[in-house]
Amino acid sequence: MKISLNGKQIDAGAGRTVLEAARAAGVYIPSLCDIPRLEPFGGCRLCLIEISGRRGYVPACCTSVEDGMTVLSETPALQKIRREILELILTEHPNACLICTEKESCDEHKSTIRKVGETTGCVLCPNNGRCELQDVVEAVGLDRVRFPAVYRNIDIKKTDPFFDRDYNLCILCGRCVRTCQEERGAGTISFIRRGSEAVVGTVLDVPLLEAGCQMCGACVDACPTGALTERALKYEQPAERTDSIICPVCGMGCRMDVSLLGGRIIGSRPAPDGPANGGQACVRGRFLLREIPGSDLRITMPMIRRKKDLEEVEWAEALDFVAGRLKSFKKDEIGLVYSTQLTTEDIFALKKFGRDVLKTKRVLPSSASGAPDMMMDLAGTNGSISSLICDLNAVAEADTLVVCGSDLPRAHPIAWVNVLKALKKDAGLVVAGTADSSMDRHADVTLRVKPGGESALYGLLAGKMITNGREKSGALGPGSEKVFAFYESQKEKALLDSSGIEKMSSVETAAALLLKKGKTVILWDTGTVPDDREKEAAVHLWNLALLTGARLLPLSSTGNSRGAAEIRRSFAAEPTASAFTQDVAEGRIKALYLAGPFPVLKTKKTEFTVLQASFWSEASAKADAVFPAAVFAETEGTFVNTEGRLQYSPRVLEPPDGVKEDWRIVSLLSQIMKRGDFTFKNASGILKEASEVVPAFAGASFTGLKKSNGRFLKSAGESPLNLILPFEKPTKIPTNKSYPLLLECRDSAEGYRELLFAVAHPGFALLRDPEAVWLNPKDAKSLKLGDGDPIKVSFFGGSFGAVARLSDGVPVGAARTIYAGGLLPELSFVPPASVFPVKITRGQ
Amino acid sequence: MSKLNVSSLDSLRNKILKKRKKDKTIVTICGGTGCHAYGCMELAEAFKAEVRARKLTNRVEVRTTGCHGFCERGPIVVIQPQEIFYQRVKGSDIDEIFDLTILQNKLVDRLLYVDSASGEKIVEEKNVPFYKLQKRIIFGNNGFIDPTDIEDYIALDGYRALAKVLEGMTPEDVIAEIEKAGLRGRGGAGFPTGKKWEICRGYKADQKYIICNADEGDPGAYMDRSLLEGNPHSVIEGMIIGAYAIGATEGYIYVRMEYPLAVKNITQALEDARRMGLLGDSILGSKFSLDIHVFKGAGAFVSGEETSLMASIEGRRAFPRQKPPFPAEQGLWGKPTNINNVETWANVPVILSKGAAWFGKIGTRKSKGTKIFSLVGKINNTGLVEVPMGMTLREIIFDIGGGIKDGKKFKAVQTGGPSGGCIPADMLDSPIDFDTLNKAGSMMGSGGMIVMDEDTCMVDVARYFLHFTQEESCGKCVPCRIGNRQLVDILTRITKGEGKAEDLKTLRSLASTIKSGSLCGLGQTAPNPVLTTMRYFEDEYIAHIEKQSCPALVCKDLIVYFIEPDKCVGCLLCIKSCPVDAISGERREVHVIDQELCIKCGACLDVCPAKVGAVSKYTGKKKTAVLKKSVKREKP
Repeated sequence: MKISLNGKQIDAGAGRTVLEAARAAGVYIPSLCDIPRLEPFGGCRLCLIEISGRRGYVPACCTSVEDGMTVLSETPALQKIRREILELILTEHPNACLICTEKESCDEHKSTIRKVGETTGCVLCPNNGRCELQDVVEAVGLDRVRFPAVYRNIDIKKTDPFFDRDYNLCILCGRCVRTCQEERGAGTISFIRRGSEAVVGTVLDVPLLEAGCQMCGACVDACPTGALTERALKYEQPAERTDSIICPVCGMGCRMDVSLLGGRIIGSRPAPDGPANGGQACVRGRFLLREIPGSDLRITMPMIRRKKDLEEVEWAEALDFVAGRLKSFKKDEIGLVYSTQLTTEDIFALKKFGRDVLKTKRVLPSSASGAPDMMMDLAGTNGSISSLICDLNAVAEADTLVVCGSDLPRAHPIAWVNVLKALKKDAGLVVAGTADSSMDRHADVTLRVKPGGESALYGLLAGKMITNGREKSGALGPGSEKVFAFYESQKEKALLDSSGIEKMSSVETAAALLLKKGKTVILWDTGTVPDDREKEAAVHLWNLALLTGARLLPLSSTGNSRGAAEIRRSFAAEPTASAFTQDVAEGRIKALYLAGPFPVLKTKKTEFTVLQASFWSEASAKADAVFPAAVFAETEGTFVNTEGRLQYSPRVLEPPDGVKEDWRIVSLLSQIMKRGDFTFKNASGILKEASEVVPAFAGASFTGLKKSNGRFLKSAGESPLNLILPFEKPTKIPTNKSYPLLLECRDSAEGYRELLFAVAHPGFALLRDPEAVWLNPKDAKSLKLGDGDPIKVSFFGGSFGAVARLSDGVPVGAARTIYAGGLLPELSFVPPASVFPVKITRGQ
Repeated sequence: MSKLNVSSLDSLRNKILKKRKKDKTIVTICGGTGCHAYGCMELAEAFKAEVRARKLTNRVEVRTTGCHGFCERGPIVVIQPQEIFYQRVKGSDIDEIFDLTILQNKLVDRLLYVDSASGEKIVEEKNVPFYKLQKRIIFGNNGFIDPTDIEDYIALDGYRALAKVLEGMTPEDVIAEIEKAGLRGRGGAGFPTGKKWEICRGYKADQKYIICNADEGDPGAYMDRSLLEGNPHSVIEGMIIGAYAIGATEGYIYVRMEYPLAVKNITQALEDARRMGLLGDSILGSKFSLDIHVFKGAGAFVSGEETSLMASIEGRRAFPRQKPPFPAEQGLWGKPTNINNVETWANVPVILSKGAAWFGKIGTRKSKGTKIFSLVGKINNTGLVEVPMGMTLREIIFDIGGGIKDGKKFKAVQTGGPSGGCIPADMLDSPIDFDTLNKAGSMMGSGGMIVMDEDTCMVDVARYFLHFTQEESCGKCVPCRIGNRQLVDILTRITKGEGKAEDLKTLRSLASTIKSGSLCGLGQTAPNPVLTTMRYFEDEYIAHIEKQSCPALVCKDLIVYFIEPDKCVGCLLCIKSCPVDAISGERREVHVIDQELCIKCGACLDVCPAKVGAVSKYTGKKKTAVLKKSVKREKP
């Protein structure tokens, strides 16, 4: 398709707007409200153009190209209008510096005699140099504003964490509002009021947090002026350089552009070309990465406890001390815990260290291995997982989406961004979960189950596929007749009751959506501790996917859960979390080597505890030896995200003196203990070995990954998928009269290694309080508890302290909490299951 | 009641007509908004009580109808079948009306309308000059219909046009008929209705919508309100026919929630229509189905713009969006949608029952049919008037409107609401139609007509209208949000005597940028009042700017109040009325205003007896002279 633009013929792809075509052809048309990805807005009116044969002027951002179109963007009339509109914009935005004739030399030596105040000058604006208004004024060549200024004089809004909102600098381009609505589906902010008082704000102008903001920061990234600015950056110099790394916190694998200054990370923004995140991030990646490397809680020197106190020593001494003690334990007497936020290389080295040096099979990931792992377990005997699971792109392209057991906008915001893309194209959405969420208002049907009622629901849905129309095809593996028979003989009414869903009609609606033609994707997240009930849920979902031809996206909770799950398959089976805890409590594990967070158990003191950690925590105070470990940006390595995408993350920071990478620490120990083969020179060498041992990593190398922008894991070979026969008897949710409430424990990446974000930044504690246990107000009333009261949560086998919070979204008889890996002293417990009965009493 | 079909509609009509006794006297009381304010509902109750008290229920029926239009003279009572027109009726008149008119068929003289020109008393409604010159094809039935009674509408051939359409016309036939009639949209821009329908019909979609735009927001305009309140079924019938023509199966009436009576009446009308099979599945037994919902707008002026109206129905902020795509292609929820204004819809059944040829004879070559105007301002006969297109402004203002109040001189008329333009006296003889008004720099708009007399300052008027549109701007696009604010600021400065020489140039330049740069109709027309007043009354602007003088003696900062010593009789009236104690003087002595204290509220001028006329307003040089001589008020 060709159009003529200012007399020049340019190629314009069909479906583009004139503005996009002009940008692609390198022709500048000023614009402030348009950004790619968002629907055209047409608010700033700077991109007005003339099109032959059309009356008046039209905005280029809202006009689709047509073959043979003749467009003019620089006629004298247009230039006059554009200048005047820009003048109008500048009446509402401090402009003294923008139109100053001496602005160029001012940056160097403040040559102007027309000094301007802090509030009206560009120099102290945090956005100076990145301001699109500056660019447009420059391009249009504006040097005066004929109209008097109408400064809005609105108080700067500083009550929310992470960023400030100064609407005196706002030009009402609406990018933040549209980003929040269109890309994040939150709709936290909107235009409020009208006429010249129109401004961006929340409902009733309450603080963002109160309006339900998740602080993803997408609005800040979209703002063309300094109206929305990251508070931490306000007092920083411009960055020296920017590098791309992979965020290690949750399982999405977001590529983040980190800005570096003086050996520090001062900020992080989502990389626009990030393969998984495509320019989006969440509060953790956007505002908390900078808090990690420079945290006050960093451990920078090795320490050992010879007598009573921990004392700082040289590395050699610490290594000798630890090596000597570790040697004294017999096979399987040492328990090893590794963090699943480490790089693939670190995890591989730690697993190998456990097997070959510590000689133990008691090796445990610090965080639940999660949904991908459970699906891989099922795949082991029933087909290849790679033909069942899908990537985020498939989510965005789906016609029907089913979200099971996850509050995506909070827990997996990037998955949610992709769901929204599909919803924009009229996809159907089924939301199944125990609590209400902001997804509900986008959903065609919401299936509210009671805690632990998920597997009953999934079984019911899988059954509906057969009873409501799907052909009983024999192509679903041997034994599929038995599976069909199982589902046909299910008692629907009883299942409905145990799922806790009120009406069968909502299940029918969901089933009808699932049976609709088109691409279906099921997103699934598990609880903290995978138990039989969740395995059963996984079987039903597996069958549901097979019966509908749907794809599954099991969601992993931490940065490298998926990578750990792949590595695990090449080593001896790991114990379950509860078995491991039991072993510690009952003294079968005599020594602990903790390379990841693990709760301090009060039951019995282990003989010897080594901590390989980056941050001080409750555990470090009790340790006998501490090795300071590097954090994500200080070590190069790879991460596997929830989709199975293997991505390379470079080392962009020098670790503090005295800090070593995890793989290097265990290598050194192995050499001193003279056990195992640890001759790695660098992380690249570990990946080389892993690629030979772990089939999924076959052929992977740093050089290849750097070039290819990441790649998907190799599948273990295509094999047909089979239906799986569920357990004969549905697993019951445990109940106990002495413990009347059901506590649901959700694992969520609320920190990095031993550092809780709520501790790293007080703002995060406002957003997600790991100490909170949410209760229905009715239950709270009968327990005589109010919002914010300290409580004691007791269960069979332990108790922990917490704070009561009230929410209508929690069903009566239930409670929920985030299990942050036992990081907070008050929460130092190991949940016996994802859903278990508890008793709540008032604490002190 | 069972659902109607085409043939049973006719028999129902006959039944209704038969049921209504011909010899019954019907007292119709206007239940329009204006008369409501005068207390017509209490009046109607009193009439009904009187009928019961006199045991006349068999002979007399009291009926509250839609707006008669002559709001200046409310409450209006018309006795049928004689059509005796009583105006400004009070509760105390009821006895006499019963004694004389109802029982003896005699007139109550003092309640009759007196023609100010001839001094004659006029008996019949149709002979009152206000009505005589009108052509009330849309509005006429209002006075005969109880809007809450669907039988009233059916009795007057209601839904006959719909029956005719469903019985024997294809959608294409309907569109052809509307196109042939030359009907143009009554909402403002005057786009040919038939053409609009045809375009929407041309788009294929699984769902199409029709919308009735009843978000009437122009200050002083209330014809749509009166139609919805007074004859809701005519609008519904039009919408059903339109939906049939374009293939829509769902419709919305977007009415502002500030119109509670309109909401009530249209909601009941929809229910009645649904109940009788005129809406819903298989309308009148045909294969065509449609339902219509009422959507209450929250009262933003911009919601009257079609794209923002649809955004509002969709539950979003009423922001307009760039067109194309036009609603006919992508409207409500992205589906082809046809939006017409209330009055346009009400024209549809009339055209289809009387024929395009008949309709085409009314009006001018390019603007067919009639138009309802709401005639307000400094005019004797305030009210709603329906006239054929092409009637001159002079005829509307002087012959129907009865001329300017208090014998003042006509200065200008603002047509088309706040975004229309001011038309001066020398254009009074131009015929009113879409094209002439556009040429004059104004527009038809939805039919507001605000008449201004010699005491009106045109700069102040422009400032007033701009202030309104500026406050009602949605804030989405820069020229409208900020540009109009700057226009208001400049105009305010001028009315304060702080105008600068270059202001006129700046106003023109900015106004043209706003007109050509704004996103929607609100911004594109907002500067019209400035542009037209500058075009026709530039001398007033120059007087304000160069001489700090307001020739119409309106702008407070540019005038002084002065008590003429040779006229003042020392009656103390002005002293008592002055809210800031700025006037001093003793009984039978000349009173004096302390100019420093005076807030120019005009209370002294209002209370000074007309035969004395001692208080004057001065501007310009005379004002300066007064200020020089001003004395401070002596403290008592």
